[in-house]
Amino acid sequence: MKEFFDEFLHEIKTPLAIMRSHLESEIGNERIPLEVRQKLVLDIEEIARVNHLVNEMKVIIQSQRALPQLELEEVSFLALLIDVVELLSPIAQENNQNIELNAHENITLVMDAKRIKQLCYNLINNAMKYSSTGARIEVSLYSSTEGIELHIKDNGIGISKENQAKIFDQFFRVSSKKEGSGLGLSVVSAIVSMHKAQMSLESTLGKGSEFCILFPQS
Amino acid sequence: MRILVVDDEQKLRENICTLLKSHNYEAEGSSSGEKALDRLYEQHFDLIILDIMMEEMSGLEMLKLLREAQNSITVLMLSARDRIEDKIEGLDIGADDYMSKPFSNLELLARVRSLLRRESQSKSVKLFYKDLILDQSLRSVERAGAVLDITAKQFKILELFLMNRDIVFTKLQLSEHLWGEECTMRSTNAIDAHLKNLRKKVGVEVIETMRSIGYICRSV
Repeated sequence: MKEFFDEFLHEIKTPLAIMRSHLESEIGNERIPLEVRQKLVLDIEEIARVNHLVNEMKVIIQSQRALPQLELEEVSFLALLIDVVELLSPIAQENNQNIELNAHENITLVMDAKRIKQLCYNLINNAMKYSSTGARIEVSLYSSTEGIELHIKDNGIGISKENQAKIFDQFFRVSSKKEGSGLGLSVVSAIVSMHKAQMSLESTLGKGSEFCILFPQS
Repeated sequence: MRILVVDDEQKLRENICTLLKSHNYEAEGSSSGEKALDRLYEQHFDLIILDIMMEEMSGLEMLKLLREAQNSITVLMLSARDRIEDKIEGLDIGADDYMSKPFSNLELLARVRSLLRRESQSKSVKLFYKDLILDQSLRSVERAGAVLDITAKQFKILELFLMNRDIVFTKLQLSEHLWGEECTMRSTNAIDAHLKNLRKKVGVEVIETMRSIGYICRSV
């Protein structure tokens, strides 16, 4: 299965690389009409979307292996969160949403930084997607007796009890109108499992949701 | 600078060569490890871009032969198999850097520049745009003699544009350059915000908007 997936990945990623490289080399070509080049940019984004989907599947499949591959290093968790919040804040501002970050400065964790960044991005992005204009998203990080706790809380639409059991399923979406692959929370769950962390969810329909991830102390 | 591109995927090999040539590198393609080894005996190259997964002789086998022959040419490995074992094996055998497919042209060019810079042991340089000076070693930017208060991400964007005049960068490319491909699916608006703040500091004329395409810094 492992070899099959590596081959499969190769077969998908190689043509994507070829197409993307080819299109990127044309977007600056002023002999091509502007409106055509504008469409090429959209094509490149579609290629990136498929590539992103393949990468998400890869994380999920890797997490199911006995020894998932992680590139572990000791990282400042606050610096990582600032990076993600910096990325998402302009989008939040457009929707008049506010991301509040409360984190202890000195917390470091041995982690695969790329994956944990993806986890934080998916959870904060989801909180924004399922919250209305003017919503507040709170991101908290602190050390407790049990480990390092990351909380992401919103005052958005909330998740029904019935859906709470399904949201980590692959391709499940609370609302089909929302953009995204439907793999975001499955990826979060996979990354949590790869880091031997625990995740819990508290949510009330119409009031909001809070995801808590407990990482064991390094 | 001469670069040998070794990949049995014809289209990708040709695309990489075209890209490198359009950035003033002398690039040559080779469809197999055996042919590449022959070319290396005949001709001097400064860098090899080497695919791992090739039929017949793999990139790792070719690299091993090169290093056993005491050839220390700089090698950038490419692979669609983004596996840590491959990276470790490649780096252990003697690769200088490693990239996973698919990659953006921007990232490939950045890695090539970085490896060639390391290769020639050239010192960090200052980049100029009219009265703007970006110092890569001090990580500072001056305008008309005054040091600007610039964030790390703004520096990274400006450095990219000053090093790649007349090249259009899409918001997606810029976003991947700053945050990596895992976090960029819905983030391109963040680039507008960074660009807006950067332009306030360095002057609006340095980076031009190409509507619905991206941004460009033109030669002066």
